[in-house]
Amino acid sequence: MEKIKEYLKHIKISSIIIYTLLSWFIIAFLVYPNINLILKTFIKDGQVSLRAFEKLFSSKRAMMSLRNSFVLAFSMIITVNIVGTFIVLVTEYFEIKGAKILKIGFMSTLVYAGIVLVAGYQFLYSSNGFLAKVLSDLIPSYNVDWFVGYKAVLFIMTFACTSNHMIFLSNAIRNIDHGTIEAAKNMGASQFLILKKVVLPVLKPTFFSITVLTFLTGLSALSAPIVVGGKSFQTINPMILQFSKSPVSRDIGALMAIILGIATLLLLIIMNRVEKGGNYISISKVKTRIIKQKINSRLVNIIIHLVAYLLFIIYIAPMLLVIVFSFTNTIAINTVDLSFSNFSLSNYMLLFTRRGAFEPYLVSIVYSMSAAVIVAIICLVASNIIHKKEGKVGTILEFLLLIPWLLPATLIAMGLIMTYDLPKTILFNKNLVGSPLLMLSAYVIVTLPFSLRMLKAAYFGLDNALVDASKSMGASGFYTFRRVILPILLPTVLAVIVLSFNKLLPNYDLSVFLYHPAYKPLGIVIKTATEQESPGDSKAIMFVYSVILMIISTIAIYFFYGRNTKRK
Amino acid sequence: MKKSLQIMLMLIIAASMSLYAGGQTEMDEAEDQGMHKDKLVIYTNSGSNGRDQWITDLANQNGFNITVVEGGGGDIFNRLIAEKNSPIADVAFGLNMLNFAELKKQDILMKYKPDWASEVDSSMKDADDYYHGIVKQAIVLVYNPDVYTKETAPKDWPDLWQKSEYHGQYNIFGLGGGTSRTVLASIAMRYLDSNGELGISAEGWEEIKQYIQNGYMNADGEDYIQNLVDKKIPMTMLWGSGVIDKQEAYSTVLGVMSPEIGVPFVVEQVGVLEGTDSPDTAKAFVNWFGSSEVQAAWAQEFGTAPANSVSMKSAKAEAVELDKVLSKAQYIDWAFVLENVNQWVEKIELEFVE
Amino acid sequence: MIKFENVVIKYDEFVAINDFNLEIKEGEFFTLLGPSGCGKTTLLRSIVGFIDIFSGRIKVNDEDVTHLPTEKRNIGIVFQSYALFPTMNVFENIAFGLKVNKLSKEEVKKEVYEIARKVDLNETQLFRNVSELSGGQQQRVAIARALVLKPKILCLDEPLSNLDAKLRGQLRQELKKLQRDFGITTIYVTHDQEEALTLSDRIAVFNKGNLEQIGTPHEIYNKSQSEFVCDFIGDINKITGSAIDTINSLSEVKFDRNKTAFLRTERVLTVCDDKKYIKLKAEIIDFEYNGIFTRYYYQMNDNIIMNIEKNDGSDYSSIGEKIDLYINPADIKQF
Repeated sequence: MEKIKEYLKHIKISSIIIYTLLSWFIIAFLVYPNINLILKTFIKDGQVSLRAFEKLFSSKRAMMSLRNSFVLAFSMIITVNIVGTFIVLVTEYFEIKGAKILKIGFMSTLVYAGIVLVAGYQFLYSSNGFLAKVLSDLIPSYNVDWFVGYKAVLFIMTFACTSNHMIFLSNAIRNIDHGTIEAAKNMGASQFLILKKVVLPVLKPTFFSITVLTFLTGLSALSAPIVVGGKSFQTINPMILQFSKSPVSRDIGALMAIILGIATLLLLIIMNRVEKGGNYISISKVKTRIIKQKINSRLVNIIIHLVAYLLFIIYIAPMLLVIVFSFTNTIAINTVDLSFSNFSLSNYMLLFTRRGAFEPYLVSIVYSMSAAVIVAIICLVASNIIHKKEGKVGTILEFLLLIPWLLPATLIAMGLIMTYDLPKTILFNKNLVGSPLLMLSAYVIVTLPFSLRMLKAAYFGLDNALVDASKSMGASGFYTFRRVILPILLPTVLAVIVLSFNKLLPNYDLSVFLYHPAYKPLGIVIKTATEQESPGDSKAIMFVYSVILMIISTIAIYFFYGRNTKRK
Repeated sequence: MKKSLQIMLMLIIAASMSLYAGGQTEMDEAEDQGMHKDKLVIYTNSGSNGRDQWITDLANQNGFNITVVEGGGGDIFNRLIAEKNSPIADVAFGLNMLNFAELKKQDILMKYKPDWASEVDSSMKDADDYYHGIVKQAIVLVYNPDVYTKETAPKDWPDLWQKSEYHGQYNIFGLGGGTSRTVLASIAMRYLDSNGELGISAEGWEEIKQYIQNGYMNADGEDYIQNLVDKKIPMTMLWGSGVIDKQEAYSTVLGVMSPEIGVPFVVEQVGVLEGTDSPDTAKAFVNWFGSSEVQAAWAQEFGTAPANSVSMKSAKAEAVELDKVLSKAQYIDWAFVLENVNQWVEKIELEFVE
Repeated sequence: MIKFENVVIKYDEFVAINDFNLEIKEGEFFTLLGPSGCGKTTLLRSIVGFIDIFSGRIKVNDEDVTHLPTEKRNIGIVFQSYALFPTMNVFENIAFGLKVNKLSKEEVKKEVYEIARKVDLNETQLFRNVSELSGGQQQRVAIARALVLKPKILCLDEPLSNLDAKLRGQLRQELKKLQRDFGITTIYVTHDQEEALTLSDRIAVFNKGNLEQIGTPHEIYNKSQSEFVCDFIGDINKITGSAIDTINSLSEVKFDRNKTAFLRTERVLTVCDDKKYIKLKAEIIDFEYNGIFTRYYYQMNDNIIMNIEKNDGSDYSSIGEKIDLYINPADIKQF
């Protein structure tokens, strides 16, 4: 009894408030609407319907697509990690001439992603694309039809999904203690051995996180397989999207999504296990900053330079083409005609002279940025708890926050509408549908798992003695968090914010269900203007919008991330 | 850095607050503008290419204060269904009869008969006056006239898979969209069997399987018209106003198939939503929007074919021309199609698509 | 000042500290000494409040602080890793605690400069990033950061390990001087017996979670109360078997031949005319020249005995030479 009293005396009100808020958020936005949707999907006329299982497992196409998704995801774990690690090493670890320019090229995927990126690659490599037109005259044996199926999809996905490496792995490499490299050198280790035994092991937690994300990206690949997969390599996500939009087939869509989600969680559990086993914190008292390593072997040096610049061209070429052709028209794009007469500013004029052309930008920027910041805050609080409480509480919390991985965006949106279309006690009897906050909450929900994963990895690199030191000087938990932990995590937090922002900016799937009539987001405008069914120069307009998105994203990266890392 | 971050945060919070507050007042308070005080929210899938702005401006001049919410056809439809308990929209237009029939079934529509209802053919509107047609789209097969002449081109949809020379030469749109579903309905209508699976005879399913497996399904974002022009896939399904648009955009001429049995029509509808806060204004808007003058102006501007027989006379010359070619409509039992189309698509997607 | 009453610390089922009692006096430099894993750091962390104790009480100035959170105890700590905040410069690191206590800008500045002067950090160093400092400078920042808050108690967790010998010696003196100047009750954790002996007013020697002995450096060294303390502190000769027989035959005090006897190396003499000393015959088998002194190794029966000779100009002995050793039986300890 005494003990309990004493215990209660030491629970702080502030932490009660934080726990309450967090639990409320999780229940109101992650658990309740999604469970509600799943129940409504699988329970028909008061009975659990298992027809989705039968339908799914007896469909050859569905099983094939599912298999392809897994093949792609596992292939990507290998290829993306290889390419991603290579480009990070040549920009951060080895002394490579022109590393700064290379870096800009490799960073391009941060501002250039999704359907636009696929269109760029398609435009460059496909049978009636740029390269085919140029090369088939020069090299008669050039196979113009190579860019289709598994290899084309893997090619695009490999180069498209290295953003996480460029940000998080680069961060991690910059934090390596140079002393450890020198020590290894001193003990006679070769450059390769140092890389393998000293550098890469320290990067393990980052690799784990990136691998999980890469796997997930591979499983849920959408644009690349649709555009270049051809008949031979279709994946499951396009089917999920289509089925989740059809009222009778929604259960099949949900089931497929849940299968993908469970696979991702399984991988995550394995990674968490491995992650817990190691120590990755530098224990040196005096860390020295990493100095770029010169490659000793002349031959290797030349090869690495060549590969680096080849990759640079692969990264930058489709993007440049998109920029160049955004000034032409659809016919010029289709026929890859670069004649001067085709160039004009009319596409840009069209988009900006229309009345109300600017509001969607403002709406999307405000929504995406607010959501990104809110998510960062939630994830900071949550990963703090997960980090402190290594037991059950932390694990449960972590998995609850990963729920959005289990469902496609469309169903998350539907779950929100179907649950909060009437006043509910948990939302203080407010009606979320019809409120501008509806879309904001959905934006927050879908970006949670990614942000959490990256921030959690950052927490692993945090020295606990710093927290102890701060407390011993009289700082409260919150003060410690604000002044000590946050500044250390800031580069990761900013990176997470920027990446979420860029991802949300052109969002369509969620927005179309949830946007408030007065605030039309950019994704809607882009989608309706670029759909094949809409009259007008749809292809050229899509290129124009992608250029505009690139510009906004670049500004965001510079403002939030670029300046900060330069200061260091 | 810290400073600028704080400023950013403050800005975001301020912007979000104003977003929220703005949303509330704009929704609640009526503005003293025009004769209709209530603000209307209009859902549509045909707002692209400046159509939303055009209609907003014209409505404004006529005393309506409207906000257009746009999105893909399926998405807008799903949104209407999901928001059933708490509707945001007052009026919806542009969705086809299939969609509107479902909305009616789910009690999402309000009964209202506009003045111009009689000018629309009864096959293009709801018998119970829940929705009425505004724009009709003939769904056709178009071909590259350099590849096929009028004689060598297919005469009806079944030719495509029954004659091997057409195998792999025709493009099918994704089955999520209205155009592709209408073609499916057109085919299915020929093989009705109340004892068959999902109302279609075994023979019918075999035909549909052949139709799907011998066709080419364009990828999302793939330019099927360019494929047609390049003679790669020289035939594709298309909607009526698209024939006019694409000929213009690709400076080409398209051959149009005109089957004996008639062409299926998709008719875009307009209706007032149950649960609107301003039923009178909403009805007044529908009455104005569907009227022959507005529809004629719309048709002139965007090359559509009005369902309203009066406005059809003043549509674009090309549209009038096309309308003559496709004068015969194929009979389609929409109620039956509505009942089954989602299951058909599911079956096709899971079993036939390769 | 600080009182441990029946303190038990447990990690799950493992008992790190069992039923521990201790009182540390005001202004005392108190050292917790022992090999790694003996529980000394655990104890230190429990004083600061990083570790919850399982049972018992910790009192500071008769106030029970057992359940007081760290930030309210006003106990400074310097970590083995220093735990300087990498995102702040030296000034910000030192000013951290002052800002927590909401001192005005001028006061903060005044206090930081004052303490910086005392620990010998100049103004340019104050505005450097902590990663640009040498180990010694970092340590001084860590100490300044703790001292600037004028804590009642200062805890130091092996702050001198990982430093080179010269720097250690220098900082050791500085540390002692600072402690004396500020008069702060200091609790020092180390596994280095030399450090403990030079710095401390009193020392507590730990082994495997148990307190072996508490006393002044002199008491600990000269009046070791256990075999462990005796062995752990300083250089010592272990005498066994036939050597004990030889000693017993010459000495009035008799020793148990079945137990190990201990004798400090500096208590073995080669020249002596004191009657209390007994003479033993031995042969030099090895030596280590050390500059100030030389350590000789002698064969005596089956034992090897060491002693230390100051290099004060007297003759060197060479290997193989026969020599007489003088020892006082009163210096021999058995436990």
